[in-house]
Amino acid sequence: MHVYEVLKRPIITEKTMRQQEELNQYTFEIDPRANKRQVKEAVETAFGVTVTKVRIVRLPGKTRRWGRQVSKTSPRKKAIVTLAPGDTISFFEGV
Amino acid sequence: MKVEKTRREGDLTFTITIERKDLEAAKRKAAKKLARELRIPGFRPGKAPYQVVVRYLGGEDALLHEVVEQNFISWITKALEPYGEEIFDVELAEEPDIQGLEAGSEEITITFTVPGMPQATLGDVSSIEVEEVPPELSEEEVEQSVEEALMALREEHATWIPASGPAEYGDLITIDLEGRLLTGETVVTEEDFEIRIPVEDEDEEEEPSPILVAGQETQAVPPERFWSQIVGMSVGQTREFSIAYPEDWSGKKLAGRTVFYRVTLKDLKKAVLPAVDDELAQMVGDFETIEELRSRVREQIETLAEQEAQEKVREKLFEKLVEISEVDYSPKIVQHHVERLMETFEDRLRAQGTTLEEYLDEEGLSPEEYEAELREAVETALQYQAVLDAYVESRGITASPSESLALFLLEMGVTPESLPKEMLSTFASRYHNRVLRRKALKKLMEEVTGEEQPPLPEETIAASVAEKSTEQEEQEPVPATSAEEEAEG
Repeated sequence: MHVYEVLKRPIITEKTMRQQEELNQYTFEIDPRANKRQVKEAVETAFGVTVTKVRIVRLPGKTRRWGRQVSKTSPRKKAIVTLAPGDTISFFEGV
Repeated sequence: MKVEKTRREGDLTFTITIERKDLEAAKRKAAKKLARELRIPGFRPGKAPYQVVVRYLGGEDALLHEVVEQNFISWITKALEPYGEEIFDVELAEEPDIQGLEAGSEEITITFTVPGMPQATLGDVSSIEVEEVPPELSEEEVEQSVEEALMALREEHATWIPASGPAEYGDLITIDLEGRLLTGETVVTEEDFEIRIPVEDEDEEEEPSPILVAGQETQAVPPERFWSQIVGMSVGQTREFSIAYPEDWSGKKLAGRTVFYRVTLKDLKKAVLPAVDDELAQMVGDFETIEELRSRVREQIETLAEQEAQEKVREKLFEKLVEISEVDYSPKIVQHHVERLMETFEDRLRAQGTTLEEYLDEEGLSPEEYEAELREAVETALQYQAVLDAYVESRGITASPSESLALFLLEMGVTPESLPKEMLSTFASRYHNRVLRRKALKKLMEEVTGEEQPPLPEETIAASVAEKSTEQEEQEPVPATSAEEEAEG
């Protein structure tokens, strides 16, 4: 898998913003096939920072019901990346 | 905030610039407000940070839009605040004419126009020449006026005695009246209608009688010929006749049409005028003999005529001053006044149960003509006021509250005791402008003629009150005697 296929988007919520500020941890949605090593490589290449730790969370697909039809949303994968002290990622360029 | 002001053709153009520091604060404030209002995924209401809000909106521009919307009025109000005196009407200023708005991330520039106070540039007062003072009333004219005044007094004290006929001009009649058009449509119906047949006046034969048929919405004003039909009738008699109204009759409903009238004379009273003798004098008031009354009437007529003539000369001078002065005012003010006048007039008509269209129809005016008339009146008033203000300011003329009060009491012919104190001051303040105007006219007269003018009555009274109150150390607003004197006259 190519390094640029790994990261899908940053997840920006109240919780992740807090993690960024207090713990220097950044959260991304990643390709479900990717592992910790690939995430580390991808973040380091894309943002030019040093990654010290990667934790991965699997999010199973949820059941959705439309009348009698039952379907499932796609399972996702989330990575919480801790950067080396002093490194930062700016998600909001120019703001 | 930087504010620049320029004046052109009565309008004030303001250019205000919101600088970076203020803008930044405003942006943060707007984002905070938006964060509360928007539902941004991942954040509870009000918790999203600035950058997230901006990104959610889709960029700075969208936020600036919100910033302008939120602050627009407060910016403008703040910019105008120090210029309150120069702005015509705060109410109007609240809806300014926006000419330009440039919003950048560094600063925002807003250009807008509000109507300024009308400004007059006074012409050269020394170039005004005094018109010749109108000649005094001739002895004959005075004599005639005295006779007329006596006649009016006699009529006032006339006794009405019932008679059977025939009716004559000047009689008081009670009639049943019915007027129909050829189509059968009723123009007017009245029962037991009491009216005085106007005294025949040769000079005004063509003029319609000013007496309206009361209580009737279609106010048919009977022309002279109407009365000539009634004259000669006896009590109990009924007469039918038709009157063809001329094409140019002021009421459009009747113009060019024929009205069939049916009139029954039910009652007739003739006036018996008291003779011009001492008895009349005693009836009128505190006079012993008719000669006393005569001389008093004469005196009043003469002083009144003199005052009027003086007033006219002053007004003429002022008119000239307006002519040679230049007044700069915004067309928006005129429009505003015209609209306001029309609205109040329409309201009044509505209260009377008619509409503006009907009124204009009666008057034979088109809406455009009516508006043009109003416009002209408003413009003249604005010019006068502006010139007056400029003159008052340039000559340092002031009016004290006691002078305003004195003029109010003089004109209304009331005593200060007859009105509550709070009302006095409110009424008096409305006279402030008039006192200023009168003083300005006096000053102008002095300037042009180089002669000192006698003090105005309100000045004399105010001065005497001031003297009195210092003497007695007791507050007495205005001496009642002078106001009463005026009331009698």
